[in-house]
Amino acid sequence: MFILAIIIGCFIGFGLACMWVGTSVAKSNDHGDSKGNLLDFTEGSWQLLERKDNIRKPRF
Amino acid sequence: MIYECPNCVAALIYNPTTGKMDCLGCGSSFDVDQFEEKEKKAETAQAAREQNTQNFGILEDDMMECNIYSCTACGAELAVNGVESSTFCAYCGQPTIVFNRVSSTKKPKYIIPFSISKDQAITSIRNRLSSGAFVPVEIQHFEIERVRGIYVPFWLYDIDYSDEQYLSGKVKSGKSTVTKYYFRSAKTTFHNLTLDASQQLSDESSQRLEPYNTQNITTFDTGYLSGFYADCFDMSSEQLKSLAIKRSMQMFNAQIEKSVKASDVKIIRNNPKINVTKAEYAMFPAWFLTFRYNDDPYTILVNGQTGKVVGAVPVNNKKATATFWLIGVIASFILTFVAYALLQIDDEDIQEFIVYGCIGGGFMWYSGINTLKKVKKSIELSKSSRMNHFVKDRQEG
Repeated sequence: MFILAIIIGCFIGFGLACMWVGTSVAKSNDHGDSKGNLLDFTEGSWQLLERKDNIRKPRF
Repeated sequence: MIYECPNCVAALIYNPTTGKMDCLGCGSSFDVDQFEEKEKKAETAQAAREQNTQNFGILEDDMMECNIYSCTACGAELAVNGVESSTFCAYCGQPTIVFNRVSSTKKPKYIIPFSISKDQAITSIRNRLSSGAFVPVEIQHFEIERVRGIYVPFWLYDIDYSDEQYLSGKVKSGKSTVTKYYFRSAKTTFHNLTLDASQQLSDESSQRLEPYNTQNITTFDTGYLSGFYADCFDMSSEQLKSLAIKRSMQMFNAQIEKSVKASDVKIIRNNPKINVTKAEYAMFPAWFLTFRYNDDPYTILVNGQTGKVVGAVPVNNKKATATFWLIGVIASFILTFVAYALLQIDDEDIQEFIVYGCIGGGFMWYSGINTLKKVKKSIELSKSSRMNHFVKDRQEG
C-alpha cells in the first residue's frame, strides 16, 4: 500500500513540477501559436453558403 | 538616396513616432511628401540596372538605388538607404558586415512605415525577457545597439477562394464513437495575404509577426527607409504563388473545420476554385535583436507596426532542471503521505478521487511536455536560419 502511495505521489508531484516549469519557460516565448488566421486577411468577406450536418455517407 | 535638410543640409532620418523626417543637425521636421517630387527627378536620371533586375524582368522606372552590405560570416545581404551605416549583421550578430556595392532593387509599391520606435521595441523586448523564470542573466542585459530596424520584403496576394467540401468527423455516442458526415459550401476573398519574399527570414518567423494592419498601408516612398535597413526580395511573386495558394487553402480549411462539431475532421472530397487576382510587392517593418548565447545566434523580432514580440530566448537548463527536481521532490513527498492516508480509507468515493488525481497528474505531464516541445521548436526557429544553412553548406561543401 505504501509503495502504491509513493507511485501515486511521485506521479502527481513530478507532473505538477513539469507543468510548472513548462509554464514558466513559455512566459518568455511565443511558442508558435500566434500566426495570422483567415479572419485577419479576409476583411469580413467569409461566407458559409451551405451547411448540412449528419448527412448520409456520400458515394462518389 | 540621402535626403538633406533644406535648412542646414544635414541628413534626414524617418521618425516612426511622429511619422516625419527629422534633421540630425538642426532638429527640424518635414513631411515625407515634400521629398516625393525630388525623388522622381533622381529616378529618371539613373542608368541601366544590374542582373537582379533582369532576373525578375523589372522595368527601369520601378527601381531604387541603395547600398548593399554583406556579412562575411553568414552571407546575409542588407540594403541600407540613407545615413545608417552597418556595424554588425542583423541576422547572425557578428561584426563582420562590409560594404559590397551600390545596387538597385525593385521599388515596392506599398510600405507600412515604422510606428513603433526603437525605445518602445527595446521596452517590449525587456518586458518579454524579464517575464520568464529561466532566462539567462547575461541575455537580460542585452546591448541596445544590437536592435536594428529592418523593412522586410513581402508579396501581397489577393485571392478569390470558394469550395464545396464533404467531410467526416468522429462524435461520441454513449460509450462508443461514431463517424458522421457533413457538407459545407463557402467562399471568401483573401486581401493582402502576406508571404515574405526573403530567403533569409524563415516563413515560420515572418508569419508569427502577423497580423500587420494593412489598412494603414501607404504608397512607397524612399524617405521612409532613411535610418533603417531594408532586406531586398530574392523570391519572385511567381515563385511564391503556389505557397500563397497553399496558405490560403490551409486557412480556408481550418475555418471550415471550426464549423464542424466533431473530432478528427477530414475532407473526403472537395472542389476548390482559386483565382489569384493580384500580387504586389511591399515592405513591412520589424525590429531585430540578435544576440549570441553558447556560441549560437538568436534573433528576436518585434512587429514594427503593432509591437508584437516574436521569438524564443534560450533557457538556463541547469536552473530549470534544478527547479523541476526541487518542486517534484517536495510535492511528491507531501502527496505520498496524502495518498497513503487516503488509501487507508475503504471508501469508493475516496478511491474515485485518487483515480481523478492520477488523471490530473497525467494531464499535467502532457501539458508540461507539450509546452516544452513547442518552446524548443520556437527556440530552434529563433536561431539564425541563414547561419545554420551557411554552416551546413560549408560542412557539405
